[in-house]
Amino acid sequence: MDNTDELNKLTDQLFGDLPLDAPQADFTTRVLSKISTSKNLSIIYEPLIPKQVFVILILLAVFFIPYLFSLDVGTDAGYFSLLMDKVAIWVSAWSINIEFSPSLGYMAIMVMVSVQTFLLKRYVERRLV
Amino acid sequence: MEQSFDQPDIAKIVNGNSREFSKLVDTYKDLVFTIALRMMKNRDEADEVAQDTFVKVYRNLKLFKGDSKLSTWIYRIAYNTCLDRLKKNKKEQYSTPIDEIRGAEVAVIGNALDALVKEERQVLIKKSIEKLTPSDAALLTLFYFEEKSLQELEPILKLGANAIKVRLFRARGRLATILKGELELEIL
Repeated sequence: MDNTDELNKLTDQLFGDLPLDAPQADFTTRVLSKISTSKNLSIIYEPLIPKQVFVILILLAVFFIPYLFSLDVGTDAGYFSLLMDKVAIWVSAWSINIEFSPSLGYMAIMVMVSVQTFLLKRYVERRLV
Repeated sequence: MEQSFDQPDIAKIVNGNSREFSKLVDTYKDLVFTIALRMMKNRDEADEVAQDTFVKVYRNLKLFKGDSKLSTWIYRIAYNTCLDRLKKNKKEQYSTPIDEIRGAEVAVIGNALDALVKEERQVLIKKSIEKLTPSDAALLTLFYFEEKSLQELEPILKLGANAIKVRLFRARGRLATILKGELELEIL
């Protein structure tokens, strides 16, 4: 037998009868003081990338960039093209067959920015609400 | 259960007007505390969760776009804060099995409740809600806070209308079963 209507009626009666519960009288004051206390605290930023990873990245940059510039390309093109050519030489030394161009570099940067924006957005949203 | 009140000025709160924010807290504190108490089953914890909810409301109010009612947005934060706390405390979600409760039995429960004095009835109902799982208690409470609007419940619970309907039916059944047990104890 379908008892949906009876159940609906009963719960309507139960919840209609029930008053709201109230917190302690000083609740609002405590909330406001909690907010002002947290405002006074200095904000501690936690880096998304751990310190060790940062050190490794910096070391790689320190050793890798001078190495790239030490490679002879012999061109008077712009700085970015020059850098891409040097990366191409370095990659070809590893026998990887990729044709490097500034457009490919820009595309790689765009992909990285998009991925990081997505990750950052997700991280921020998870911290909210 | 909806309260009548002056809506607080959100723009003023975002600009740091604490008097306006205290108006908001005063307006919604009972509703938020009731949700927290029914989910946490403990006044101290409910108090903490309700405070955390308002701190989050204050911090995120500038992100409130107004695409839902302010109350719905606040309930959503309260509900999620409770769930986070329950997860942190690893509280057990004890659940009463749904015995098939017949329409006639439901009517008997209703009549038995009517025969009780108002205060006794309220104590008994509160005791029964306390025995529900936090999710069942939240679902039923929010359903009545939101004036039975499934549309308002969807963003809070992150569930579709049909899923909410099914869960509501089961939660009502469990509440009736618990209430029947409590009434039997009361009569004995």
